[in-house]
Amino acid sequence: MIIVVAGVVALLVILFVLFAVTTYNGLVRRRGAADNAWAQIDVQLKRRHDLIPNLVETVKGYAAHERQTLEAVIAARHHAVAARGPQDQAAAENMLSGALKNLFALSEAYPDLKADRNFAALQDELATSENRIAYARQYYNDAVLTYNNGIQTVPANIVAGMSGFTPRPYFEAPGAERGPVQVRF
Amino acid sequence: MTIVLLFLAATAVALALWALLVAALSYATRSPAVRPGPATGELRPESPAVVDLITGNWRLCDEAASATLLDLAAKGAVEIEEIGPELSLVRVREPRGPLAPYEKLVYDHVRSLAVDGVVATGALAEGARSLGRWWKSFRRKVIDEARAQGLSRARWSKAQATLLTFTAAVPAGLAGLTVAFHADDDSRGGGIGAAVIAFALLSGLVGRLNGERGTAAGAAAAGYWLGVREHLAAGDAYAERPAAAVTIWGRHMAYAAALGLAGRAVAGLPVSVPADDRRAWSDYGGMWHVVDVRYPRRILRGRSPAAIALSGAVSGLFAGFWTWIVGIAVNAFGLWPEALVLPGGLLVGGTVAALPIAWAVADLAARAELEGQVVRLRRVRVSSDSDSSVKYIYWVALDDGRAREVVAYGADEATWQPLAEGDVVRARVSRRVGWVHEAEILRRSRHRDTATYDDTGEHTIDAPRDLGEAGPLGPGRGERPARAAVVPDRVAALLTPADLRRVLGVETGPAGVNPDGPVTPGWLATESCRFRGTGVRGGAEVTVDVYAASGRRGGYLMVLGHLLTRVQGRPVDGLGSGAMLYPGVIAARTGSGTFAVHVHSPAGPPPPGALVALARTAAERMEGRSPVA
Repeated sequence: MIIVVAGVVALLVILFVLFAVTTYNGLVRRRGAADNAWAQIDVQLKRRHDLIPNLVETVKGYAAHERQTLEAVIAARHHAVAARGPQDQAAAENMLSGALKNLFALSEAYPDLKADRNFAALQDELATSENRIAYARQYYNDAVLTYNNGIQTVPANIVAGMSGFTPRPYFEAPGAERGPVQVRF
Repeated sequence: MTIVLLFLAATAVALALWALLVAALSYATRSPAVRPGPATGELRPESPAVVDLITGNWRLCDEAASATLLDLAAKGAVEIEEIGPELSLVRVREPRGPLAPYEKLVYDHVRSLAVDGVVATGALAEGARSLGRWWKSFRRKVIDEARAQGLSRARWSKAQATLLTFTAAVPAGLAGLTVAFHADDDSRGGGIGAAVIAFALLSGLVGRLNGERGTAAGAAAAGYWLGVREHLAAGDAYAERPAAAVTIWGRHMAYAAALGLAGRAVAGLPVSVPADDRRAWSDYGGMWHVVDVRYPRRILRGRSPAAIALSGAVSGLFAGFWTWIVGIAVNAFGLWPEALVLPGGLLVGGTVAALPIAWAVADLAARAELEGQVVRLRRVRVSSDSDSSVKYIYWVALDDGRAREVVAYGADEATWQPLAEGDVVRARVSRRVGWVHEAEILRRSRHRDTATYDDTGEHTIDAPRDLGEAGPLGPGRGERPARAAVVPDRVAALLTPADLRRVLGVETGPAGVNPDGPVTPGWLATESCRFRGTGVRGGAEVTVDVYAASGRRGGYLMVLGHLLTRVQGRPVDGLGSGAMLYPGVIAARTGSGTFAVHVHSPAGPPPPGALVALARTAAERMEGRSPVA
């Protein structure tokens, strides 16, 4: 009788270990996917940050006295570069987008600036970057959704709780998350 | 009976002889042997799609469409960007030069799917196109170019096709006579039917065998490209590279795909494969994203609540009846008390019936209004009755933007039929049983109006959006002859500004250099010139390009109209030794050479009569029968 009970217990332990191992590996894969997706966002954000100094220099050539707007863009970029983590980064990027919108609004008052080919090219490149960031953000949020669902659903949450998997924050889009994407400044 | 046997034997002999003729002609018209050339990385002018054709034993493979898209990316008409391991984007740009018809087909497909100029690579299989027609159109266009370049030709010449068709009448006729003599006097007419059917079958076989075959030039080109393949295959550099790697590897990547060396990139660009039933791409909300679709088992889901309740009642009746029968049998052996036979049956039957009925009733509280985009519409054939009536079940998968995995809803035919993938709908659904009661289309799918590619017949090809702006075959592919710095006298003499003023009412200057250069392959030695002027119709700018070619291959210029307009031409009688008319283009062959006139304007093409009048003038000048005005 004891042997039978011991056998059943051993079987249950083996089954639990197998379950824990496969669940753990699955969660590690999902966490890796989320990390990778965040790295993609980082790449796209860096691309955008690198464009801004050129843009500011171009605008200075036509509207140097618009110091306030230019400094706001530079400060917002500085914050965005220094931000760490999805939530801080999202807030900083939203601030940067607002500053850039003001900068592009300036071009309406400076026809020469608006006609500048370099400015137009940078504007186009920034719009493309915005679009890439939007897709990277969606990709990251999908990966985080899968990961967070993985660690919060029963019974995987038992393994997740034992092995230190914690939920990841989403990279929140400005405004309505599901609304049509507007990438024009 | 003897005569029937005689006819039967004659039919067999005639069929065998005909088969022998087919075999002999097939052997005689086989493609020349292709000998791989030395390994080289230097690319020739042929496009990846044409390379795919000639290196694939003159059969176009699926990779050709993906390779064409990679080539478009290499040439800057689109950009391919990788966002993540499972997400890449194709960003549509303005082509830097004119596109070949099959390139335009691919480009237009990508553009039709793009949202804000972007489409996910995985979504390239989406859209409302008929894939079969699209592929036939693509194949036809690639073959046209390969033929125009002298690399490919139809297996049968006209004479051979005629010979095979006419000789097929002999065994077909004998088969008909055999049937006629074998039949009763009243039904001898059946022989005619048998002859017609046999002839149709044999003619059909002749048509089926009439594929493409290589020319000597095609075999030499294929050998060269096999050498390129060997060079590209060294080190297996392309096999695992994603499509976005075309940014670095350029056109070599496109050719690697055409030569079957870039499997991952080709798999990542599903241009010519059907959309996956279970993995849909949706642009609901403005950005492409993947939605996994599950189709539930139709036990408690995918049917109307009434159908579920009814099937539950029937199942309960069935289960209760058989439980009662088993109870009686078991009771006969004294193993089950008689008092429990009927209650047992009722209990089992009631239990089996209660679950689906309760499920259907509970659904009354789970009805909801759902707004989203139709991402999958599928119809599955489930059974066929003896009277040949076919039954289907209908599935509708909706993406409401809340989840990346959805379960398809069942629907009846009346609800399903008006919908199209991509429609944004407001649907009243039973969430619990998964049934769409009604659906209102809020926004029609933008894919509904895309081209149907009704150009799968012999050159009945869809017209471009603006016939007047049909672009010439692009100079981007490969080396073209240097543009002529001076206007060739011969071609400039075919038409004059006075002719254009008289026929088109267009004031032009003298013939100038055609800046787009000859739009034909270099070996065709085409001469061209251009007139520019302003037309009477709204003062729109009008451009008239005149092309001329002579020599043995000069006749290939006749395909120019098709290459430029992608529509089916129609022959024009009494003009040279043959002429074809297209919207804005006319090409004619004379004893002294072949010429083509292309009139393009944002206002659209001129009337056919004007083109024919211009061509008559040009034909007379080419033959020396009319002096230059």
